[in-house]
Amino acid sequence: MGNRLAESILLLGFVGIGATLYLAFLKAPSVSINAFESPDAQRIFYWHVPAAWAAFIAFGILFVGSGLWFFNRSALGWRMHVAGAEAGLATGLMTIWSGMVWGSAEWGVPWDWTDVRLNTFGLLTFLALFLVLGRQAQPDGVETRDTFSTFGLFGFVLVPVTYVATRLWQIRHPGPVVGGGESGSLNGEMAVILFIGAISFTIFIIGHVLMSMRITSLEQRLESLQEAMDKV
Amino acid sequence: MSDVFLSLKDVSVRRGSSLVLKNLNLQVETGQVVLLNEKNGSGKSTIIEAAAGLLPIETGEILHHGDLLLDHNGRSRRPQTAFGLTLQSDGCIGSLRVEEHIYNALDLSGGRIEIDSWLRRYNLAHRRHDLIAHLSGGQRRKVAMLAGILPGFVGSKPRILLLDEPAAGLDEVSRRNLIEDLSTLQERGNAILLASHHADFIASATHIFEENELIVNELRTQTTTKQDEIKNEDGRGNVVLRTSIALNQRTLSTLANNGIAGLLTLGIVLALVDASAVESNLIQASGLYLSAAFAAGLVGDTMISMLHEHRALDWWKAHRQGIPHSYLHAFVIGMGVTALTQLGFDSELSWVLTLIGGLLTAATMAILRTMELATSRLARPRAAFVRILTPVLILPFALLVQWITDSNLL
Amino acid sequence: MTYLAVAYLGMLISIGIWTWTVFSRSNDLEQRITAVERHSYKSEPGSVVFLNPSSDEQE
Repeated sequence: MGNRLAESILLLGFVGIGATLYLAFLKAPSVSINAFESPDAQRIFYWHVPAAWAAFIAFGILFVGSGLWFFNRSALGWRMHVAGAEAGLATGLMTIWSGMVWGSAEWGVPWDWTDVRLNTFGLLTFLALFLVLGRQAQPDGVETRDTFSTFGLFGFVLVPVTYVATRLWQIRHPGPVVGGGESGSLNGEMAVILFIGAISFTIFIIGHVLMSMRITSLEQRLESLQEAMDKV
Repeated sequence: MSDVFLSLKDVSVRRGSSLVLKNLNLQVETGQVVLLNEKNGSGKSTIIEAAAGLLPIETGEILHHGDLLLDHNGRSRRPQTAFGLTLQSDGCIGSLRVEEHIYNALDLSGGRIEIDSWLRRYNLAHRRHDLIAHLSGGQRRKVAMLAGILPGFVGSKPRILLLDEPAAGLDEVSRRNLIEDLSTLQERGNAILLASHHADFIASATHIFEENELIVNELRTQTTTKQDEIKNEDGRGNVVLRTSIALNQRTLSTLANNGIAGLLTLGIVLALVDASAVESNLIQASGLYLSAAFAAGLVGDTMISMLHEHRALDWWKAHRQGIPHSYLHAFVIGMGVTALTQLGFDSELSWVLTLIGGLLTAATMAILRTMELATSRLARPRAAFVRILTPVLILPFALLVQWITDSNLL
Repeated sequence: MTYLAVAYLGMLISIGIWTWTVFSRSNDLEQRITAVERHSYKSEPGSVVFLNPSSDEQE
């Protein structure tokens, strides 16, 4: 039952993302030619911003899960950690990829090593990659969970740094779209599409986290069964 | 001072997904030899490692000589009196010589004794200067065992000795010798916690610990041999630094790994970058001059892989007096490649930049080393891919380059 | 514009593949569990022993 719900949420999110892309590509108004070097590429923003939003949710789940395991040894916390890391990796890669496409069109370079937000966001994604790959290579147990949840906690310190860093060291990256002052304002239609995108990505990430937590729980169940059989 | 040397109070330890020790209480007093001889898988090694403060504990606390060593909140202190430790997996670095490992164990305990007679007693005298990696499994075991028991002869103050299967793989004569030596150590007042499945050791144990209970051993037959008086000398300090330098000079591992990475980067930079273009751009110049030093640091500390041999890392960690490192060699290599890069670009040699290069290599290596040590508890630490996280270092590197440019160091 | 369309399609396809792998991992695990249960608990289905660390591990 729970499984079907998670699957439905995930699928709904996926459809929503498809719809956002369609709207962004074909329906969103063109921006002023003068404002951007590459106005068409600006449409990537309907993907890039919601993906970054979803990535922050995923990293939030990763942080809460890591903390719950580290301080309370909560099994639910560990499942959240695993789900957050996987979802964070997926959405982090999407954000980086879309950002690179936009960056190469707008700035002429896909990546800017002097931009703190790019670097810290990249690092969060690398952290998620490390957590996903590292965990897969280890047997489950307290040693594995303690070690990776420590890295999860440590990595999350980068999130506020990332946000503040944009304001402090802004070199090329645009400021925050929401709550970023006057320069971050959007016109009505653009805001609607962006909102649809954010909702879709949020639904998608919730579905993904639920599915991922279920997968971890199934993995643990399989291992318990196998261990029980080992003892026979 | 209390007679209780080692105290495990209400200790629970989880390994993997099972609770191996549950609310264990065990006290070992001066002059006691407590034998753990339950069957395999009952947690003997876990008790020894917990007593050495190597495992995080879920409940309770561990005390050495009445002082806290480790508690369930993770509070950990270096013991006032160093203890002897033989781990089940030897804990010796293969690239150390036999005498070096034993002297390390003695120096960590704060004194030295003459080791010739001990090496002869266990038929290792002819191997004294050999690398541990060149020994057979049984000989390596003897080295690990000696490193665990000899601290018990250092100084007048008795100590805790934690011995996990010290006789595994030993020949019968050596085993008999060990039983005698344990009795001598016991008479000197040492508190010995011994895990062994060998029935022979029942003869030397004053107590047997079974099913959470300490039972007086009725079967004890004391067999000590008269030992010549053991002459004590002062221990040598700087054990960690001495071992770090010896290992690096013997294996040239930092040069072969970090140094080569630095030189390769230097070669690539020299081959691809036009020197005249660099001169006109200060930020590019400082970045280029330091890139080889940065690359050398990114290789990490090769000492860590040596320490993963036979769980040597745990042996060093347990003593809480530092872990061998390659900082010094990394610093020299960093300075060397930075100087070479500047010379390669026909630039005037800046000593400040060269010094920064050395510090950059050492600091980068230190961060990598910390990441690797943070994953050392994992079942497969080498499969943890910590290097995925190295991009974190690029930004500090960029900021350093910016700072050098802004401060007109070049 | 063409390269933007390619980038968009690429992203949509990759997110689709990712979603599909999540579904297939879940299905694969369910099948493996069913197979193990059928193999070992023919007489007592549902008598699963959980050996996980925390008491709240069980579902």
